Amino acid sequence: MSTTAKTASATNKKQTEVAESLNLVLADSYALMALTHLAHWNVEGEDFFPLHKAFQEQYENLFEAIDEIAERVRALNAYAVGGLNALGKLANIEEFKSPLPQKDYVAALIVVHEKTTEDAVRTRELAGSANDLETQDLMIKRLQWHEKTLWMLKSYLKAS
Amino acid sequence: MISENCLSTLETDCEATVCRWRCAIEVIDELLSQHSLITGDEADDLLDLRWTLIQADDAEGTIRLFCAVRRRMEQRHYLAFFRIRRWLENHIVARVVLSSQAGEKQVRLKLDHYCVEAIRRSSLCVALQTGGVIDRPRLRFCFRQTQVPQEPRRQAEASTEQALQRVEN
Repeated sequence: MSTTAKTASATNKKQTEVAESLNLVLADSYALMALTHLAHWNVEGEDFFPLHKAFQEQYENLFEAIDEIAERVRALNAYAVGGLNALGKLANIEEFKSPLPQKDYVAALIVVHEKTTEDAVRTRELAGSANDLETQDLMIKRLQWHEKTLWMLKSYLKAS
Repeated sequence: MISENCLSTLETDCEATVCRWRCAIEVIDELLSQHSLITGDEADDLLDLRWTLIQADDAEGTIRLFCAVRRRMEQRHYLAFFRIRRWLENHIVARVVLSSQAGEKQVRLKLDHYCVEAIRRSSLCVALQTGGVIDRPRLRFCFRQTQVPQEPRRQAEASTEQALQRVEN
């Protein structure tokens, strides 16, 4: 195999890894969106209004992000994962049962945000080593949002 | 973050051989490291809970101790106690025999209550929902049958010393 062919093969391999990793973030985000939506519908208690509104803002953000991540997968010449079953299996995230105490919704969502963050960090690093700055940029944007949301959710759980 | 590769509280991942058995201990260690946020008595209770988790041979005692510590500290450390609660729910089961004629039923633990008696009662109710006649029922809590690898166990025991030192300092 010529040097050029070897380089092209290595680049393709890295690109495939990035696309697979992006698909995992896509699945995580989809699962997180569905769970945030569930929390938005079923949350009850004295903080109903602020939590209901915050959860709505969060699932709306995730809905837009999912489209962006999926389109990035396509831009890398790979196919986006889809279908509730396939997404659920890939994300491997525990689905909580409703109803829950309002603080448990927040705590359970924190756990899912943390999982999504870990996978996004891995994807950002893979994209960096593949010199894929566009994917890296997308993951940085997602990470900034997840970290901000984690800060807000954790702040809610702090005792007053 | 609880630990590297520790995804969530997914039951299927919670096999001891996959490492997750240490998650609750790591959460306790994190609490113990927050000197300014816990009192000496709370640190003692957390160390006791940590020890029962490492031994993993007295599930009811573990739940009893967890409930006591939870009642005392949960409002100030909600997320930490949520993580420990979920870990316990995935690692402890209730084994129920409804009557002398009935076989043993295994019920998933739900730590929705703050005392072991209430948890026992709700586990019994779940077992009853699957049918059967109740006559002098027996219920015992057990750690799930998972083999804790010896090396991590030794490491955890050694780290108890470190946790103690951190509290003393």
